[in-house]
Amino acid sequence: MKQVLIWTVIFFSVLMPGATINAQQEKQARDKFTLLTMPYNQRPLTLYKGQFQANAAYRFGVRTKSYDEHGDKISLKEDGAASVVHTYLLEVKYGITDFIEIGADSYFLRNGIRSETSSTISGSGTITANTLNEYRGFGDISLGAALRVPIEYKSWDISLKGGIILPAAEHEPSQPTHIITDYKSPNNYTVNYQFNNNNGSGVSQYFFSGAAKISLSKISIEARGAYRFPSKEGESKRWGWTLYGSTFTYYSNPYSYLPDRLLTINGSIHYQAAGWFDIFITNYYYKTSSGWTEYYDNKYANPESTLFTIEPGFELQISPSITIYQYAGFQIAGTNADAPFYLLTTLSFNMFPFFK
Amino acid sequence: MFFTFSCEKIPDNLKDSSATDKWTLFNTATGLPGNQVRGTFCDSKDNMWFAVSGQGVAKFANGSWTYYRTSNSAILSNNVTCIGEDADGNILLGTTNGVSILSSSNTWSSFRDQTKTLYFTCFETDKDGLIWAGTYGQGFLIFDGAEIGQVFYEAFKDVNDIESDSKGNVWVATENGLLKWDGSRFSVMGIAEGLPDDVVTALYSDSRNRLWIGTYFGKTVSWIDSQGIHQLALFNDRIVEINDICEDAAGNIWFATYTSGLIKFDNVVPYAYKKYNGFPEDDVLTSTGDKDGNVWFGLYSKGLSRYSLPIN
Repeated sequence: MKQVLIWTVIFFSVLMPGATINAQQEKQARDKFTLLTMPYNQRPLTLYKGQFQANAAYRFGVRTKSYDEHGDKISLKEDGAASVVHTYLLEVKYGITDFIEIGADSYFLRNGIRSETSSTISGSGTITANTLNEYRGFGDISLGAALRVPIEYKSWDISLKGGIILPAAEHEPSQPTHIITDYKSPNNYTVNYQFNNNNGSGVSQYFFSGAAKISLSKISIEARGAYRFPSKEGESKRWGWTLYGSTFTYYSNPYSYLPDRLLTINGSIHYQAAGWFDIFITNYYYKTSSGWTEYYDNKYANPESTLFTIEPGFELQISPSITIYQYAGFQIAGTNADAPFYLLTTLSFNMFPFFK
Repeated sequence: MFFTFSCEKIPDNLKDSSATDKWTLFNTATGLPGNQVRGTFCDSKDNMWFAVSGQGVAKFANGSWTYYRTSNSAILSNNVTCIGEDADGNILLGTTNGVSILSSSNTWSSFRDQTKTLYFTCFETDKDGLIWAGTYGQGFLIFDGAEIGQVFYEAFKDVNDIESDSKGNVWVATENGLLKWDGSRFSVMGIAEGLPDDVVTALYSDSRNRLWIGTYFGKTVSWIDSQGIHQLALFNDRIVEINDICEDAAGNIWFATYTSGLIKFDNVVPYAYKKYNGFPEDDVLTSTGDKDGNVWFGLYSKGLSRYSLPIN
């Protein structure tokens, strides 16, 4: 972890000020209006030198289905476990040169998964159980740097990116907040289980990716592959509880785990309908592997999950500094994966802060 | 620069998560020598032992079975009634001919009382290494490694179970109440002290310092903790006869019952596993949880059932 922090400090303290000075000296002669209004099919894969970009996004997801280990679809609506996922994303990027870009991003996620209500006949009464799995909180912070081929973009581009995801967010689940309601007798009440989960991964992770783009007149094709892997295994805890009368007491047990490795591949076709309007369709595939979780003193391999999604969308330039992106995600196939339909809307703010 | 950091190596011995949350039945069709399993025991090396009525004892270790009978070992009888372990890791097998002892080096020895026939029902090794052996009709024996002493009270001559708790107390379940040995004297608990019945059939000291008490004619099961005695109502407001109690690696408490099937208590709600919802039969004789997240149930006529706990 120390090594990671040292490299991060060096990264920002040495490269960033130098880049800022260079940007001011060399970019002033360029037309920032032209650069800010550059259509997608004429843009390189990284930002221009001196360009700052802030992206704020909201992803509205609806979990109505998932895929089992055989790839068969499971209706979460029929199981009474459908839910809505709200994700708020923030990303900042900066072009150090025309060929080097740095950036950071994180998110906040809120999702409450209710399970089907169950009833148990006990003694002379009925115990009804409701379960809510709450996920709420910030995700980890991702820091990365991208390099692209050092040539002026005309019709093709290639870039490489690498970075680290810092375990800034809480990973261990908070204490559950189960409650008893409608208590009539020791055998007749409703128990409401509430599990309070956090969104951090608990350990630092590394990632690298590669991207390529080709533009032919109004048509562009972009392909991207990325790989993420953990630096080490993590420690977490599981909560247990006992009910005394109508009061819960809690205890926790530690366990170890290794986050999954993640491979993502996507390809997209864009059509530049107008200088300010681009429509696209992306296919997105991911696969997880190699993670494990400790249960009962044994390490169990996490089930590998895959998901294939189609994402149609558009890019709409509102002004030289503001662009809106929107796309929807439709899941086509997968295994061991949740498959939420989602709609992601991004407001992108661009500027050259050091240009006059 | 990012590739200078090391990445965690993936262990080779990962278990398959798809094998969890599954029931497995072992019986004569799968090689078990009999279909009545009256004793289950998990030793300190996490090997499972099963007393199969009239067929000796079966050991399950590292995924393979070993069977000990009079025909292939020095075991005193094929009628094994209970299983235990001493402080040195020797396995104690109570039989209708005495106690057979299988050492960790696989050598056999035995104990037989020449003056009377002893029907052993249970073994318990306390925190001091004393072996407590319960019998039907002869009270219980205490063995300190050198000498054997007999504790016999006419009222408490039939012993169903013995359990030591985390405080060092030893509890003796008898047909006429629950005896507690606190290191200096015995005291007795029964209906007057809050138990649902005087016929105490099963005891279990769980990982949360609760002593669970099963009875023969009670409508509830009881547990004792630092706050006193508590009652847990089971099903249908009727008598539930408890044969055995155990805890699994996830902290659930399991009750093996006579004619009421199997009951899991997740510390909030009891759930029943009976013939009507797929369990092999409703007479469950014995239960034991192992450290790998399995729970084993000896059945009256259908063999042995194993449940591998789910992982989430």
